[in-house]
Amino acid sequence: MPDISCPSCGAAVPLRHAAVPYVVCPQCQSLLLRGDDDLRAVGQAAVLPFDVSPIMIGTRGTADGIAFEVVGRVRWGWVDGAWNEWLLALADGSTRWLGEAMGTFMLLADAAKARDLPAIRAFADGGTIAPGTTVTVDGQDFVAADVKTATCLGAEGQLPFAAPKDWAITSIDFRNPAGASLSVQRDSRETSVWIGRYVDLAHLAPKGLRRFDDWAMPHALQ
Amino acid sequence: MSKRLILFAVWCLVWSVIALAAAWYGWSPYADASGHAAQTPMGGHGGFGYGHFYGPMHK
Amino acid sequence: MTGAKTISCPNCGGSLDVRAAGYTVTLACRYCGALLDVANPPPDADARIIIQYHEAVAQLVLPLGSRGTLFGVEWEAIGWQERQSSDAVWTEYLLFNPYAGYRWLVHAEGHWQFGTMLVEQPERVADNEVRWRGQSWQLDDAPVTTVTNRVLGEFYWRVRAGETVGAAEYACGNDTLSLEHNADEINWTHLVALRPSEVRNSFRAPPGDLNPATDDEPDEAPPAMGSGLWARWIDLPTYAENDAAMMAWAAVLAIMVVLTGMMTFGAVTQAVSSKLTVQIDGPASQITIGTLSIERPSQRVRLTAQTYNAFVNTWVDCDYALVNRRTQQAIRADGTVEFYSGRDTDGSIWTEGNHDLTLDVSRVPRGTYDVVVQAQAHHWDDPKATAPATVNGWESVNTDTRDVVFIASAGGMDWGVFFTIMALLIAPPVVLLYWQFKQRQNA
Repeated sequence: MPDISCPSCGAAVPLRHAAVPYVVCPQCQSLLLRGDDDLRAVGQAAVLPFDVSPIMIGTRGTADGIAFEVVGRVRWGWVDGAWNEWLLALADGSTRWLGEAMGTFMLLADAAKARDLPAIRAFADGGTIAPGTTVTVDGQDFVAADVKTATCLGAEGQLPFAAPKDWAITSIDFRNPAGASLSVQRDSRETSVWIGRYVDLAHLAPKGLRRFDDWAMPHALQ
Repeated sequence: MSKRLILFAVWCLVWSVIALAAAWYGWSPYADASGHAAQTPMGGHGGFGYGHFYGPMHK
Repeated sequence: MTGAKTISCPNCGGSLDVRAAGYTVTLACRYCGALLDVANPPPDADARIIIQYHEAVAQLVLPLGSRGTLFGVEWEAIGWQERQSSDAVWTEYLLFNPYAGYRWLVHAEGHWQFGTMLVEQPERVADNEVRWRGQSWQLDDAPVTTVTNRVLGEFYWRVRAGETVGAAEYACGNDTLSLEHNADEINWTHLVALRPSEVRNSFRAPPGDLNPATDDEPDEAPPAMGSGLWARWIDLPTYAENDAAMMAWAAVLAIMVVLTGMMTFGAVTQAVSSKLTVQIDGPASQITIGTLSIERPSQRVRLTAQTYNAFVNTWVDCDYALVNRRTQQAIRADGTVEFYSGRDTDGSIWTEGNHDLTLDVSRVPRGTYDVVVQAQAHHWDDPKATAPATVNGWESVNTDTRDVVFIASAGGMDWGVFFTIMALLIAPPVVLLYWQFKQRQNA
């Protein structure tokens, strides 16, 4: 896809996926929205701090048999730590999120219908979910494993939503005995639910991982 | 796997070998006579010429 | 690019490497001991000081920054904490690899464990039992509160000295599932035991930092022993959870092998028999039962005398001789067949004794033997019986004759030895199971 030009600073902004509307200018961190005919700056994303994630924008791989490319990232920080969420654009036109926290990876897809579950609805209306709470989705039982209040630390690449500085959410991760995972995020306007499972990096057959001078890439990932 | 288990396996091996060797060579601590050592008859009922008593113990 | 980011300590200016940049939240400066927040750095500084304290940097068994390969992946020890629950104190290292994530290395009482955080939540099946990966894990001890005493290096969450979590451990075999929880999180870790030699051999200190283990809990095996069978023996735990079951299986297997072996080796290889007529109260009779050929270096010989109820209130002295044809030496064995019967004053009949005699001769040496037996039968007069009949004033002389069948066989299963061995083999596991049962009852 041809690069576009940032309306704020004029820098070239690479695009990887036609259908993902927002993009962060790598130069000035302006949040740009691509409409049908126009390109507008709609906000500002924060500068991403340095980290040693093996995933980068442009990393490719396979999820559930479908090829994907990493096109965007949001970084969330909570009181005692931070994690990344990578946007995967799949060859069939759909998107997934790859949550990366404390060295573990979760592959998640939108589970909008789970928003109607009573426990989730109560949470969406402002209630709380404590660790240990059980929720059943599609016949699988999930147990809430951690609850965090987080703010957006920064973003890069293409995103399906605006990711402004200081965007605040409450995020709850659920785990289950089979390694499946449920993630619920609530911000000031809406609540979203994501469902999927924990994966080893090797299961995604990744290509184009970041390389470090002082770390050898493990055999499983070569 | 533990030290205790290894030691017990050795214990089993030792006694098994002893049992099989005893069966092969015909050794037994419960035998009445030995083909090897000389044995003197014991008890109240002996061979010819030895002091003994016969008869039931029943009164 | 490298995986480390260099910052300077705002307190002392020392240069520090952040090895897991972006993940690490707290970092303890190794020069001045200040605890730094490197998670959300303010624009003009690399790090903020959270807590300032001066403390001698501990001499660690694994210096921070040392790398080692465990389970096929290279890890760097980036963080260390000392933790405590009631009287138990232990240390934990945080291991990092940018591609593989985080693991834990727990060092408690000289034992090492390698921990992986679980992403699959175990299921609670009972108050003290959870199920994970198809296995049942039993609660090891009452749940405790664990507190962090000291912190060094980097962690991916904001570690605070003094922070507490509720903790419980579940065991299955040699592995442990460790549960830690606080108000916001539940975390499970799977711990597997490592031999001290595995840790020692795989972690090399950074050059210039070679310290022999100076931790207050020295590892069990001194390095001079080297690897090999002896070192592996030292590294074995003294006992394991499933010992009793394994020992029972081993004993059963051994008993079956012994039974089969003893019955095979103890099969009768040759038997000879003969009938001898003896005169009651008459002179001794003698017969050569037959010839036994012992092929093995030595073999058991069983000598039997059978009287078929023919003798009552009679005893028969039997003297056997196994005469070696070559040396003419005799192996002797003797016994008596006795059977008595009478009537009590109250009219009931009593019996005593046996109609047969069996003698076992152990370890008869290789050779050819003529089995000779001499037998003499005597009648026993019951004093309570009526006076003996007289014939013409003379006491009648018993001139009865009876037959005795003598059998000599080479071989024969020794059940005495078998049951003794069986008792010896089965005793330790039974004792252990009983003891463990008692422990569980008292717990």
